[in-house]
Amino acid sequence: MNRLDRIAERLARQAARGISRRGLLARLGGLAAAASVPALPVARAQAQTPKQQPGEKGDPSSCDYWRYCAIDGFLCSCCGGSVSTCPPGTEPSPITWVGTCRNPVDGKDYVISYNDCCGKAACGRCICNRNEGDTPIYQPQGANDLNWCLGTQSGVVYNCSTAVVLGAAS
Amino acid sequence: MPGLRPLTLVAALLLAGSATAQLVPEELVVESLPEKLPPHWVWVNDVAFFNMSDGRAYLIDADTGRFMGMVSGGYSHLKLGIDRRGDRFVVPGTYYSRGTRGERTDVLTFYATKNLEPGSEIILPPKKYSGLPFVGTSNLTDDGRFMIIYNFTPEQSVTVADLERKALVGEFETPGCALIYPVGPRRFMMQCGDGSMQLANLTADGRVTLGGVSKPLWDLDNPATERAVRISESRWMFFTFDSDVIVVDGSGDQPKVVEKWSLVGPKPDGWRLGGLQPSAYHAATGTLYAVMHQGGRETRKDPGQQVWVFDVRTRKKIRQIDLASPATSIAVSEDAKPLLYAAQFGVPSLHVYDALNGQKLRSIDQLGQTLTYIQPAPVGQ
Repeated sequence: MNRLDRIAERLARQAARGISRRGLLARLGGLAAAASVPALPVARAQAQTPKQQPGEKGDPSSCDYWRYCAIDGFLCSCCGGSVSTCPPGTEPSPITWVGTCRNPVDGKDYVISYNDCCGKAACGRCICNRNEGDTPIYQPQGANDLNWCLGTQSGVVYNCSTAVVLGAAS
Repeated sequence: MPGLRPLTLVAALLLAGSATAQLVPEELVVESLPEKLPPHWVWVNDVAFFNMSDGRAYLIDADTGRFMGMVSGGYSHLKLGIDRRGDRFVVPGTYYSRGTRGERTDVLTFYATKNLEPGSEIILPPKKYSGLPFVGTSNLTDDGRFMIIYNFTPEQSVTVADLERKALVGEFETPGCALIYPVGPRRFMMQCGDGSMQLANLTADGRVTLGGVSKPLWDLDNPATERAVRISESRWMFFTFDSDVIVVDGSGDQPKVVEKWSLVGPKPDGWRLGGLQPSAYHAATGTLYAVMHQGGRETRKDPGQQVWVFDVRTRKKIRQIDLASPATSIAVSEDAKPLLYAAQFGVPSLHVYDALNGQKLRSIDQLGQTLTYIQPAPVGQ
């Protein structure tokens, strides 16, 4: 079991404890990761931008930004949200794929949860596809070719992607 | 004509007009198409990534470059289920009652090639896989009787529809395994999360029973992707991140690796297979076409501008086609004078090459938005 699998399993167990769709996730056998999405689904707009933490730098509206190492889609930072908030009126997906990205400021690897924001048509801005550590879709826990607007009330309609820090990878 | 008086000018114009035939009134009619797809016609799918509720597929006559027609495919359009006879196809679609919200309906719609009109429908469980289309996300059985569609909710299952009875057969759970790779009249393989493959059999009425499971067939540090190509009734060629070739046969009790070799050899010099539909197989000549570029593993979905052509029997590279522009998807027509089709996701053009000498023949421009899976006409039935 590689590191990513262990992380995914840990996250899935956390999810099984914390999310009511327990049966659904348990059947995945550790394949799906669920992010804890702080302050969602509603975050006040004035608190929204840029949502960076003191220990990081870079432009969250740029595809080069360190958190986006395995992202595929439209950056919520360009769509009315941020790296850790969904745009107004959208719904965050409770399950998603994860990547492991290195923060250039402290040189540490972090697990990043790429929760999709759902329920409105594609934002269409800041399209970004990076595939560091991305897996084929038969290993969905790390696959970014899937639409992760799953388990939402609003269905599979995809708007944009976030990049939420879940924690240090080690 | 400053010297002419007005009356003379009118007369001159009338005389000039009488020299050509007057246009006749026209009747507006709808075009029709041949009963079967000609060998050099090709369907090009467009997931419409910027407007995903508006997926579609375009029908192109690659000999003339003419756009012959299209079908709409709904949200997150996958690819068409084209019957080998070439006269009919089905389209699996997802629709919301209010466009981007409301009640979800997944439906399989029947079309005839000759008119591209939507016909009968089969309502499906609203679970169809949503994402980029790959060769295994949905497939017809070889005789066209059943359509099998991969579901991901994220529970994994397949939906089977009976196209002869025009009825849903049902949804069948496939825990831990994904995608549909047909390996016989009533059999398919699936890729599983641990690197193994699962067999599944269809009963005469289309119900799925799971069969044998292989041991892991590839190293998860260098796994086979879902961008595979079928090379015979029971064999599929898979490609790993590092461009190793793994041929899996599904005719036995469990999927079995029957060949392993490399597209790039012992000294790859950074060369790598890449794209969304990065390979194509010409069955009549046993020829593999592979889109290649130079880059690290993280570039395995990137476009390439070289197509390496291999004799699959000898595993030797026999020639190279230098594309005029990069491609993420390629396909080859099935006939004896094959055309190579190439497109790049995000670039609205289909390029047509002579697959034998690599000469670029033509481009079809202003073609959609985010082109994905290319489906040449079936030939031979």
